[in-house]
Amino acid sequence: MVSTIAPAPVVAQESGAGAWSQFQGGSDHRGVLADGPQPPYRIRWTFLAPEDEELSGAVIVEDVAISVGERAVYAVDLLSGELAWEVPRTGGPISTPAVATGNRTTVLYLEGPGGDDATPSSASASPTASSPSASPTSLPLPTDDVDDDGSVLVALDLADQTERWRVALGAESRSGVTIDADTAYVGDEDGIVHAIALGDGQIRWTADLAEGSGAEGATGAARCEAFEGGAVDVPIGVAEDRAIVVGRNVDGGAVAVGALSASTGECAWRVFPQLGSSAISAPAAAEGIVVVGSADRFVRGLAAEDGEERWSSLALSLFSPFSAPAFPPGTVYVADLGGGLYRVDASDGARVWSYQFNEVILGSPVVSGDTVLLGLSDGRLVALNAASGHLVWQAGTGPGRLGALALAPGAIVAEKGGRDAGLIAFEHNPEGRLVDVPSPTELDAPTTLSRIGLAAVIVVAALVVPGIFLRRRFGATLPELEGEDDAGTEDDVEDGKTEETEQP
Amino acid sequence: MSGKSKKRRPRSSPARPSVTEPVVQERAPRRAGLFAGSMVSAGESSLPTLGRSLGRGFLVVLTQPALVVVAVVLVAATWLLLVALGFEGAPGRLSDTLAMAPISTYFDLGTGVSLLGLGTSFLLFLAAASIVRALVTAVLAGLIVESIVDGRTSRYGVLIGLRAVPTQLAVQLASISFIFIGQAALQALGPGIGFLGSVAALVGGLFFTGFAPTAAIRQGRGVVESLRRSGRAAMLPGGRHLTLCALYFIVSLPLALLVTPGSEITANPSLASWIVVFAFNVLHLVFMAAFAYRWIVAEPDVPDQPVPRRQPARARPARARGRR
Repeated sequence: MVSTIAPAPVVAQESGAGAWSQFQGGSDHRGVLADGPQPPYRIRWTFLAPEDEELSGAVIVEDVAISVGERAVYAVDLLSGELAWEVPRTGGPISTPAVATGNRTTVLYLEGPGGDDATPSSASASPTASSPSASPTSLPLPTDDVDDDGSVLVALDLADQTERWRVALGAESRSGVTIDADTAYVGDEDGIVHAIALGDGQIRWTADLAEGSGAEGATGAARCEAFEGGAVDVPIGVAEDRAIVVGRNVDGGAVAVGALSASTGECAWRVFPQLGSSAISAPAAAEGIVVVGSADRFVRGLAAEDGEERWSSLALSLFSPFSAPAFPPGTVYVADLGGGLYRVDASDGARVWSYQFNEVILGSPVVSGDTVLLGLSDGRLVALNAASGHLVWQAGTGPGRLGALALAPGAIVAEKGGRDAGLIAFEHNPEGRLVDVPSPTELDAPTTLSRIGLAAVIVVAALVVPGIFLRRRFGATLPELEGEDDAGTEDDVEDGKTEETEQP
Repeated sequence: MSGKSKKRRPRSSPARPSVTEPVVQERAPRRAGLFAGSMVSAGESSLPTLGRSLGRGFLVVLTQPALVVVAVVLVAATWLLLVALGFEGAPGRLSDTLAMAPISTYFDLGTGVSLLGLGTSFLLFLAAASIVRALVTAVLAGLIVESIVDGRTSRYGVLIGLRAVPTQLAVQLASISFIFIGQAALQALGPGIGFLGSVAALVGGLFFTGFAPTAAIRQGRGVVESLRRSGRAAMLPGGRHLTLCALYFIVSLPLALLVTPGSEITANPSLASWIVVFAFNVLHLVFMAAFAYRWIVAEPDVPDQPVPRRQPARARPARARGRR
């Protein structure tokens, strides 16, 4: 475990308030935009990724949607869908970027390791011709010795796409970037959590899940059992000075959920909600509660202060690490991998309603006003009334999943997977129509009873009528049973014989 | 229930022993081991052939409308009850509602886990489900035995079926053990051999316990003795009983899952789903009747005591070796 407190001056930064600045909209992953667009919707534009590439979930700031691809970071104009700019990227796992707004709006994303054909990662970003003011960064690089085996956190100035700084993490990272106040948080495959100053890229602290404590000299480590072999590949949540970290040991089939002090990295608590599986959702944290969904199909509300389980609510399937609960005030919406969307009360975990889509869900629900939105693996975008839990609108976008959603006051930007991977933006359609469809798991008594009755008549008639014929032909009883001693010999049933067998 | 026979046969019960009982002492017990069934020709076996057993099973169930109606009503009532309890699942699993243990135990375990997750409430559900299932299965077995012997179903069948409740409950508990053994094999041996091990545990469980409810009804003996006799009957040579169990396993799990529409989670299964589900549950009764028929036919040959294995011929010690 290494801890570095940056002595360098920090440029004042703040997280992207008012924008969909990172995974699930903010550092706490609440996934809510009160003034988001309402259904019905229509497609505003489609932005296709380069061939054989997919894009990350988008973040939205200053009328552009920013997404990370294999070989570039793309900014798409929110109104027109035109490419605003792109910045080359050296490859590596695709994860959601983050935006810090303030006196200088900064885009942070992860890149590398890019393999043999990767461009030198120590170089500054080289914007393409589409960048209006491309120029190498003049800022000193805080980390010059970039490790080719690890990922790098890159900070770009949104205004001119110049690189402000880059930090080598030393291991591959898939967690995406979380920004809270003036700090960025990323996790890596070695189980290290990095807290990095937004102003200059200095590492403030690191914490290793494999160790029982979060930071050098930390106290209170007795409550943090070491988690060996875990990777931090799920977006980190930050709320109330707690960095909520989910560690997954895929080979060992284990997960850990823990909280670190966001300011010092000191471990506050760590719990192990399940054994035997590494499936777990990303966390959402608000109102003093951390919510995660695990492989034992329980959604758990953990006290943010000490990790104690406040409540649990049973779902029908396990949860994807690509999905996080949405957490508007007093309510949690969570989607399981098998196609169930659930609304539970944030105070006691009581289920308010559920909707079953019977389709794999890899994305997270988001809340736009009083509508819950969700992308499905068959390409549908679905909208449900938050109060009733009924489907009010849905539309397909063709083959390929619809994953992470990002909200802006006038648009929804969805990550599209599959052959036509890219981004799709939706907007309100004043001419569209709403529907009111309850979940298929709600019993429609008249329909079901009539089906049962009809099926019963068909089956009974189909079986009993031949039975009557058989009864007439063979009789009601099985005559060979009386004094049965020829069992196993050639059958006489086919001949319809009714003679009694000989008694011994 | 229904169906009046013109000729009422003597009922088989401890009070009124079956007409075949005296034969028991006259036949020499035979034992040839688990896989000996395939080594002995069907003509030499005490157990009826597979075709005859299944044919009789169909005949018994289809000629008794009450059995078909009971199957349909039980399945529909089970679904409505589960939905009322908050169950959310695919209706395809209803195909095994009336299956024989241990396949029915899969239904109970899956339903309980889906409804309550793993925990104390799940164990309570499993206990309650085992009791209800033991009761229902025993009554169905009683009706089937009455139908086989007397050609009718009546309250009498229900009453003699109640005799088998403790035995059936023991079978349910044993089935849970078989499933856990199968899961342990799966975990320990991996998806290849482990899967075969888990299947073998299920088929083996059915093999040894399949006759138990009928044995309890017919002979009125205790739980342990009924289970023992069920195992001894299964070991009778030449009956291809293992084949019948494997066939039932294939019909109940892979085939039912493949054929039954309704893999989607809904509370309102389609008409096609209901038709297939009802048909499969009647098929379970057919197999149950086939097992019961086999027991009744072979009952006189089921040994009262375990048949000792034939000792392999030992080479005579010193004295034998001394002869040269």
